Amino acid sequence: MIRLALTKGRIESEAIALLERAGYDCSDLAEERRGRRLIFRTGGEELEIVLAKAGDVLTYVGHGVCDAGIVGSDTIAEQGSDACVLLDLGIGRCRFALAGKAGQWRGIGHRRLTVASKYPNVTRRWFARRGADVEVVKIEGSVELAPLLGLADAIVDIVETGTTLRENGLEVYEVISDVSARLIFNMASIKLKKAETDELVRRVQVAIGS
Amino acid sequence: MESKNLKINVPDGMRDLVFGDCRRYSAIERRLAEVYESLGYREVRTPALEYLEVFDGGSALPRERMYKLTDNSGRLLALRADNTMPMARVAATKLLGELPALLYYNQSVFAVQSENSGRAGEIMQSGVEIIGAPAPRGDLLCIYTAIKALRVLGLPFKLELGHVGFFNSLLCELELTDEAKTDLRRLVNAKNAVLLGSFEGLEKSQLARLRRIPLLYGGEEIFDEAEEVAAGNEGALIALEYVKKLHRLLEEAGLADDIIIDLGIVHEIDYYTGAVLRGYTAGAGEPILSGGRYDGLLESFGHSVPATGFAINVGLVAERLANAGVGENGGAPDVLIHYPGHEFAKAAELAERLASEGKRCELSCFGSEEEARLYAAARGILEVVVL
Repeated sequence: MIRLALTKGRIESEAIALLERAGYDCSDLAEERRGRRLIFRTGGEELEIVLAKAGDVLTYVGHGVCDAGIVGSDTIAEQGSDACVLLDLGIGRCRFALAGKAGQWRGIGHRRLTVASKYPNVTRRWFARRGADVEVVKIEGSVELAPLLGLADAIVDIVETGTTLRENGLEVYEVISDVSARLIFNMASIKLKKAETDELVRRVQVAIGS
Repeated sequence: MESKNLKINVPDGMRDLVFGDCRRYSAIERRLAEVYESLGYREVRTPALEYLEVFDGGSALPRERMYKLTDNSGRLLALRADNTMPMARVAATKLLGELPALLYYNQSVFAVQSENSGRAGEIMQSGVEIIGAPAPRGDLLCIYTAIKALRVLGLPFKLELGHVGFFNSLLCELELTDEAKTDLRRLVNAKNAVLLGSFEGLEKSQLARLRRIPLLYGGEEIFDEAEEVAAGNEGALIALEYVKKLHRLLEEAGLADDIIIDLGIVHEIDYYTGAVLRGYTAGAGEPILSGGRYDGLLESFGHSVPATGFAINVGLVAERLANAGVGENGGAPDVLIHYPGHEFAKAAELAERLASEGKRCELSCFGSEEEARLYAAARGILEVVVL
């Protein structure tokens, strides 16, 4: 049996639907049957599904206590990971973007910029590649507040439709990269459970039509 | 900042080993040393501190992750960051007159881990280096030793065989900057098929080929597909032929059951030049054994000598054994000798006699028999002798 860590929240329902399409019976995870449990079995006992926060999915797979994981590429980019990233699931699509108050972007100049983000590592790397000297401030919740309150000149965040930005008078200055959910594996698991992990990859591949 | 009483805590990544842990570590180290010695290896110990330059050649660990300090002239020292480099230094400076040299060691390496990662900063390694033995004889000896070593641990395992020449030759024919090649190497090593597929600056046919490399793992059935991937690239084909040859020789020796193949092994360590090894066991998320051929490494110490070797991560093995309940019990003596204060001589005499019968006995530290009996019960000592 493969133990799969699945990211709670934004990509959860899409991921479960994908697993269903791949022929895994996920009825154990249905809202009405779920309760407060965190560990579930698929109908045929092929998968044990663990619900976890995105960052923890990487930790569990990295340590090998979970064989596989479904997690956004935003979290992989921010946290770094030595897991094998075998498939782009094409779900949970959005973009990393630099954003701020509409019409206020002056570009990278001599003035030291302050940038707020939930993704300080991604932010630092992107500006460092441009040789820019920026102050990165880590924010936990709604990052959009930081430029509105005058804490930051810009934010780096994931943007799906841009509605939240628009409604708060913000706009995208520049797109940094595309983000989507990935199917990842622990390196030792794909070696020791090759037949089972191959089967999971094959079935998910069919489900996403790649 | 959370205040921490530094006096009663250990630094991040450092660990105390208490009782059962020590028993498992010692047993593993002892059993492995017996295997190595039975095959003619001799032990070497190198200093915990070396000049940082010793570890700088092969990027086994980037400088930022070494524990560094300075000596009395301000020169940079590093806590042993890798075992192979000091062993190569010893061989290049002291053993050139007696090659081939079969060395083994049981000593820790140190690496700064990222905060709260749950990873150990001090890693006990037990390993061998075979200095002055070219391929394939050196490789066969190394693989044979690795299998014997893994078998004695009592865990189910797979030993993975690869060859860095396979990917490196395919990388050579690509017209990319060094930076792009480093990125590619990292992606193949991490089996990141997704980012590989969208790698910039390559033609479609080249990408299609690259994407298959991380998936070239499994049993000997992957050799046919590897041949397709390597087609037209002489270096990759030579590497593949060599792995097939090793596999055949191991099969003839009845050792192939424990072997799996991965031609996508690239290795994060630059000093490997040929066949590479990794050992896996269920439940350990990372390899319990890692190694390979490093023919260029001794050159950085002034001499060109072929060499190969591997290291076993004793801590990871101990963790798996603990998980399986091995070494949890035991350690309690067989007898507690309780004696009046003036009868120490009698107690010592009895202890000697019991020891000669193969019994382990502890001399009581208590003044009253009642306390001694309570202690024996709590400690799991089955017999109390009262003098």
